Amino acid sequence: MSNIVHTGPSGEARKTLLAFVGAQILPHEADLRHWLLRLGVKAHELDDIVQDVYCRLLRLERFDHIEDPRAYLFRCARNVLLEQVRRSKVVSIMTVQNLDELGVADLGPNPESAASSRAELVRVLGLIEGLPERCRQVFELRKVHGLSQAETAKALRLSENIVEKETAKGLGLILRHMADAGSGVVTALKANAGHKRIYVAD
Amino acid sequence: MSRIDEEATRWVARLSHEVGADVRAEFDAWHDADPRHQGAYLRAEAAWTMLDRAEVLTHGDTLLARRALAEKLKRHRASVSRRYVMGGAVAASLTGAVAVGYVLANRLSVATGVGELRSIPLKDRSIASVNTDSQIDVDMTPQIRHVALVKGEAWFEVTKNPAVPFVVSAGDIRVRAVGTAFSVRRREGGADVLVTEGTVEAWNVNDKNKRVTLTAGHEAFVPVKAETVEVTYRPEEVERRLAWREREIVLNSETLAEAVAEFNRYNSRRIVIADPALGEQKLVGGFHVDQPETFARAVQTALNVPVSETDDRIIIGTASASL
Repeated sequence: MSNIVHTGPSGEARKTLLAFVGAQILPHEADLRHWLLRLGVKAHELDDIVQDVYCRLLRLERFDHIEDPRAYLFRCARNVLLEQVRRSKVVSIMTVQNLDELGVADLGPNPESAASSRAELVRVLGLIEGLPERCRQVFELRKVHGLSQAETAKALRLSENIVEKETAKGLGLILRHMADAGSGVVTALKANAGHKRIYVAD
Repeated sequence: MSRIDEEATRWVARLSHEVGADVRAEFDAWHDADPRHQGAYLRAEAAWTMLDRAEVLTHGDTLLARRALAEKLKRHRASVSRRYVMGGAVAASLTGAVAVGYVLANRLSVATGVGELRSIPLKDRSIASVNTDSQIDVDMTPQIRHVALVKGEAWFEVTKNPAVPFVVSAGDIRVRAVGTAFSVRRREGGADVLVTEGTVEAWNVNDKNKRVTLTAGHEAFVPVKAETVEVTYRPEEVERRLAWREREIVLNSETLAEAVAEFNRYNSRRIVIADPALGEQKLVGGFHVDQPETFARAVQTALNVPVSETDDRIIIGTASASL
């Protein structure tokens, strides 16, 4: 545990950070996780590493120097890994290879991330649409129609407490979905895994 | 989802409306307690904020939202099927050159050079993946599907046909399958058998009564000398040792000496360990079979040892190339 607390920026600066993370970082998280797994990171270590990566983003004071957020994210994760490896006693050499693999497989321009507002809309709505019924209603009212928690509770005839629970649950599901849903290539690979494996990514 | 991630989403939900100073203080305490809390909270809050775009982009119009979504699903389906076609095309281009002329042949011989990997569809629609520096001779008859592993290593994905056994011979060693996936690798004094799916039987022709049965996740070394065969269940090890199908070498506490021997199977540029003591170091990692240079650089960093290169060699453990 670190002695220095990075609580990060507040007010407007926090808003800018949230917008940056939501639009430029979160969409690449699934690919990042997939890449970490391929490097041999164990599934139970994954969340820790990802949390550590996000924590580092808090120390950023500005983002306009980050030309390629995806590359930045992967580099950041690589640094987290390297530090872990140096701290641990096991000699692990998975990390150095990242340098090479970074350039080839994962840092190429990602055509699907070309963020037109239409693509963004579809992505955001898809996340809400995929929720279980009551969760979806809560998110639709709060996020599409912009109602407050109290207004949402009233509209759905639920207690505020339930709305809050549904909110937490739905957000958890959405985050999990974003963590799992890989790029199309990854999905195709998974679908094929039971049969003949086809290596498209490299 | 980890406990911390769950706590973070609960906090985002809780703070998504007005709260009292006591709740705020409770949150601050949680947030400041651990950098991972801060990371998880940033992530959850960013997702929550990102969802606000739904309102901005639809102007609160759910109908527009639904239409956009219906379109997305249509396009998604199209893109998935396109990907499958592309995947198929890649597979075909990998194997096509060799395979096209042979697919219908009852007999065929496939040899690979150093570093080469070929996947060959056989007449019965089974697939043979032939690893580096290996050779198989295939002979399909109505009674038996026979593959001779002349040298090296191959993995077979066998189509089910109980009426026609699929038998791989590796010298005196036999491995028989019905519908299953397994690999055979010839070694000094016998053959390794690894099973990834279904069941196979393996035996030595000199000792036919001593057959061993292996199911998915099992491996065995079947010796040429008639000895008892030990079958072990190590599914992760089986997968690790079959990483070559994806042109990878995966190390899980193998020694440097073993890792180097593995790389040297695939590359004409040999890796040499100058200092024998180094060979005992255990390593963890994953690499492309055809990138011994990357591996050597990784070793250099991980073990803090010098590495030098000549045209045909990579030497680990000495700084000068004067060996």
